[in-house]
Amino acid sequence: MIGLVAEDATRDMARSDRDAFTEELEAALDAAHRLATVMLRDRAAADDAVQEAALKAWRKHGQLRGGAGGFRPWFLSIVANECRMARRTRWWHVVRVAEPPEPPPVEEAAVTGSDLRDAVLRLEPGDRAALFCFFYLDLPMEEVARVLGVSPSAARSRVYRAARRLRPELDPSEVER
Amino acid sequence: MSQRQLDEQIRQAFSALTRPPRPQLTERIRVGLWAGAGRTVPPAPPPPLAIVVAVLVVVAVVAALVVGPAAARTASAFGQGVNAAVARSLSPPRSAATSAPRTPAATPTPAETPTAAPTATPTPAPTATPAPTPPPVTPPVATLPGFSCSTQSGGGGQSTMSTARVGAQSGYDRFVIQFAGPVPQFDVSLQGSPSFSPSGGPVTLQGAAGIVVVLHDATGAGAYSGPNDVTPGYPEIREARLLSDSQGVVEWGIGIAHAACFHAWVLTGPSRLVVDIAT
Repeated sequence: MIGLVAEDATRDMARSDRDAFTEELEAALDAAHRLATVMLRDRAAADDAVQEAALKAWRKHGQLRGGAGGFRPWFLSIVANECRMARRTRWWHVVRVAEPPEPPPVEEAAVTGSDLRDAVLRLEPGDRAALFCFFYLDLPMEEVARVLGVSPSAARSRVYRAARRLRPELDPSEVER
Repeated sequence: MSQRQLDEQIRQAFSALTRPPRPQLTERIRVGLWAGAGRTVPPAPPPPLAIVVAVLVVVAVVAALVVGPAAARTASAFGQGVNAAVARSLSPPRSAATSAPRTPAATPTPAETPTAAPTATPTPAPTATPAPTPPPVTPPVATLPGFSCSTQSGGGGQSTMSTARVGAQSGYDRFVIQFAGPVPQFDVSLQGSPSFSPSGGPVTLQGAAGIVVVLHDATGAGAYSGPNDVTPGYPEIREARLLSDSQGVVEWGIGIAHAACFHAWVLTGPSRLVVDIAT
């Protein structure tokens, strides 16, 4: 896909760029919006973050050309970054997505169903993002790392740590994939 | 609880916690990106909705307080004029007798508006349109982004199929084929019945409609370790079967509960063809 874009560029750069970008963007939109919802816990804030990320992605989409890994993880990393910034710098977002106080300790018993959802919501946004990318989007660990902006080993330990908070008796070797 | 079950439960938790983006978001992003055609640097995002709404409310309240009575009179006179005009334009043209007496009423004079203002609410327009409207056509609705009911293609390159699986998510069922190598050229199309006619002879799967997935320059020979036929009983996917694998063409049939729109797309590392079918 990226190679094709590079070839088309010689003919009609602006238009093919835009069309290709829009196509890739819209294919990634569902995952991006869910990621933002997971991180911000607010649908309207997620809309804003994804739109802002789309604008930023278009501004620097030249950096993507020739880059490894494809559009989706690249765009998701921009979305994740945007969500972190939204939480940090914009007070009305911080208020809207304010975290509950320190979670109570997870029971030894397996947490299931709505308990599991509650436990997921009690995690830090970054941990939720890690679990979401790994378990829901089914991304390989290298791409999870790319989205989170950390090294693969850091991503792996983050996924493990977060999953362990959901279920303490988890065997770390089973998180390897 | 096994690891696999926990994986699935975490997946379902995220599925329950998130929903697909509203279709308006796609449009909003497009407008944001391409509104100034050809501009490389897009405009800054609009101010937060809450502030815009607050400003509009304040303006409306102030306007109502300051010019209230006068504005109300003007508005009702305007409304009456519009109603009359609409009624005139919508009334059947052949009934000259009914349209004739209505014409004088359509030009309200300032003198009669103050008394007419409080009672001017009933509008003649809705009752003046008994014309039969055609019943609304309801095509299959593709509300999720990327979903459509027409054939979807993509991929390219020679590849070996390594495994395949199905999954149920909120809003769609998912069928995934994984490859060792690039995702080969694929065509995914919807058909009205779950009967397929691959090279090996006709096959009918469970369900009431079907989706056929054709892979070119691909094979599973010697490398495919996934199932050849699964019947998960999901809301949409009833059965998925490897129909044929010969001469570089692999065909998969998916029996689905009813004709639904779908989204065929590609994931990398490992490369996968993903077919999401709306439920």
